[in-house]
Amino acid sequence: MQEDPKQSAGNAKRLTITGLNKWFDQVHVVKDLNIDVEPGEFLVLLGPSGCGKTTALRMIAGLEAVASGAIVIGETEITNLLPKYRNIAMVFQSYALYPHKTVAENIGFPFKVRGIKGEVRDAAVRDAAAQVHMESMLDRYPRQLSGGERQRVALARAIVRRPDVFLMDEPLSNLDAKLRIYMRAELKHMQHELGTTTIYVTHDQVEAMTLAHRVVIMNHGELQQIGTPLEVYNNPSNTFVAGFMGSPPMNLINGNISQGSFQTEGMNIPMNGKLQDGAVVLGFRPEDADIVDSGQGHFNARVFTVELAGDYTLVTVVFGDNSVTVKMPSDYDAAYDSEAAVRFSMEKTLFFDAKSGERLEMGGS
Amino acid sequence: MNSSAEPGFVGRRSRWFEPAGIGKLSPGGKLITYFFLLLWAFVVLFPIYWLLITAFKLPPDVNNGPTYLPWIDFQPSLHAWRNIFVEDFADTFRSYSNSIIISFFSTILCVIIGSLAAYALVRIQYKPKFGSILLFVLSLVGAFIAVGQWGIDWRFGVTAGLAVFFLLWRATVRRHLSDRQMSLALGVLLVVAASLFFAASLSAEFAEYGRPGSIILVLLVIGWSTAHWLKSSIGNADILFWVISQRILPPVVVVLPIYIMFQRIGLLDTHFALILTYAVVNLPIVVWLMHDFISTIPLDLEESAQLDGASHLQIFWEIVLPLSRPGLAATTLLTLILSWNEYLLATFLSTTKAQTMPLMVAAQITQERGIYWWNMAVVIIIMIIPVVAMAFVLQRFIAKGVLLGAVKG
Repeated sequence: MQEDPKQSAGNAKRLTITGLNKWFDQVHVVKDLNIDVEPGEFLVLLGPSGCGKTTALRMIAGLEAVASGAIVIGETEITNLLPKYRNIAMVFQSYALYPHKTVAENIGFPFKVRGIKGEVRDAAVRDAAAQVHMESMLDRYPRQLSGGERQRVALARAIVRRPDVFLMDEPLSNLDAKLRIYMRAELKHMQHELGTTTIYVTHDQVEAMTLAHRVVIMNHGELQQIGTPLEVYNNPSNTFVAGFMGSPPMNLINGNISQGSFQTEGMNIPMNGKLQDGAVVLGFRPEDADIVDSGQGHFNARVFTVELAGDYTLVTVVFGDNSVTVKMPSDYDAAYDSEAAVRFSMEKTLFFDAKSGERLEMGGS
Repeated sequence: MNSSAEPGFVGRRSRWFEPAGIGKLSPGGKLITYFFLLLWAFVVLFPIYWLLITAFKLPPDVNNGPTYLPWIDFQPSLHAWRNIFVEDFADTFRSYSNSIIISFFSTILCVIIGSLAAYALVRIQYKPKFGSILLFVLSLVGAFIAVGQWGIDWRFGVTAGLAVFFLLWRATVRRHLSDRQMSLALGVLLVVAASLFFAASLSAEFAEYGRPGSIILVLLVIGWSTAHWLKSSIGNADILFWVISQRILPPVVVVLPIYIMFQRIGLLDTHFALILTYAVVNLPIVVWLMHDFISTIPLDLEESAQLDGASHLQIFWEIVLPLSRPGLAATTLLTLILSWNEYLLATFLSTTKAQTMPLMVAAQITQERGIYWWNMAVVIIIMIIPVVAMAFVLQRFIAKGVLLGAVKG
């Protein structure tokens, strides 16, 4: 399903970030970031707001100074280069179109400031506009365009000068839901066509899953995990990633391991494999569990809500202080506050260290 | 539930104060609004009417009590227009062209410098050390004293002052003394001062030692606070406030020093002196207004332009200036009117060669023959015309909505 980035890489450049750090006064916003972006790769920086992903992107763009570390594109170190010498294009969340310039002037602006005019510029502008299906609106002003059209113009302005790297800062978040899904597909197709190395920042894990060759998950300025969408979904390296990826995210239940079984209030489940005794967090995905009659499952719980979401139904149950969400077929229904039980697949269940949040590997059984 | 029964909520007031519909005025409200509008229109328009008819009156029509209506109260005459345009033509023409040249160039200078300064204050964070500012002021004061007291050539004086400032600045502010060195120096000086006081109190023989002791103490206090200042710095908000605070001072306070300055450098009664002075006097207003306009331009646009390859000047020229056009037009108009109407500084800095229109208005008040109201009215009318024309031209640019479509989704 995911195509190999190397296939589409013509003359795409590799982007290497080593030991990148940034402080805002006393706050350490980006902590020792190391990322190696393959040529032509679509890399998504994912994390909650304030996790340092946008700051990292702005450092790559040259809009923020780097405290320490190095950024290299291809063979060229660009760490302390001015933005205009980096050959990087960026699409802003706000699109940042120049309101007093027409669509053609907006797209042609990178040429204008370099003193390139005439047929060269016009041809490039037409090409870029055609690529985003805006060739019929070259004479309009941004205020005469819809949100989706503005987004296309911003993309055209980024692709018009064939940059080494594309940076995108939540480019779809200002669009309405329907348009966002459509533009997402277009964006992915366009990146595949151009084969340009792309870094995309978002807080939306669905966007990250659908767009990325690889996802970088960040929290508190630290890299949590880097891997393909499938890897980070199936094998989250810690509780943060587990709780962030997926909609709804993984269910996490605090408990203890003793005598080869997982124990918490109302639960006592024998383990397949071996783990050290101690405090752990048990995690399973909503789709890997079922609601069954009381007494038939791994633990008993009380039905809290039942939400129909089209092709499936989300059932939230509570037991003790925990709440667990389970994905059921759309024809499932249950009365509020009725007694039920949850059964989940022990093979797909993951365990994390309660203190550090790190994933615990099961020993041989 | 039965809120409709509550008279307080549904009871209607008298029909006079009940609007006919949503977004409409009540009849009573309309009456009051139009009454005040008409009153205000009368207050604004009557002086202009008075000016117009006075320009066509003969001296007796003015002097023998008020007359209101042409052809009924008095016979209109071109007598005053002949005075201004035929007999005093050279004088009128010179004042008029002086006014145009001075206000035009001072406005251009002022708006260019002011909007660049405002842009810098919006986008760049300055942290000047207090010590640098103090040094700069002291060096300039030294230069002025040298020029004023010892008659040194002013160009030499200012250059030397600036040179002294840079040397001292490099030596002191840029290189901090370490805390240990500071406390050591303080300690030594305190010990010396203490022993001097001690010696003075011991016997009358050493009484005069008290004075150097006090001097050292005073120096210590000054040095201590200076050292403290040197370390502290001010920010953009302080700079902006300082710029605006220049307008708090009434111009009459500084007009004499300005006069003496230009007298010393021999530039009295020149266009240059008035252009420069007006530009400086109006600069705070331009910086203040443009600061507000420029800070409404989204930073994203400039960052995007940076990534598109534009330099700082290109960004200013291609993005910031076009987007602050309404503000620029309003500011230009205001500055133009302020310089056009300025009287106080013009009376001091010009006599005949650089005389401006406001001075010509004032010149119609004579000692021996009283006030030539009819001539004054003509001068004022021709003075108003270019400002009205400018207002019409610039009004087209003072339109809203230039930023529409920039960043909203």
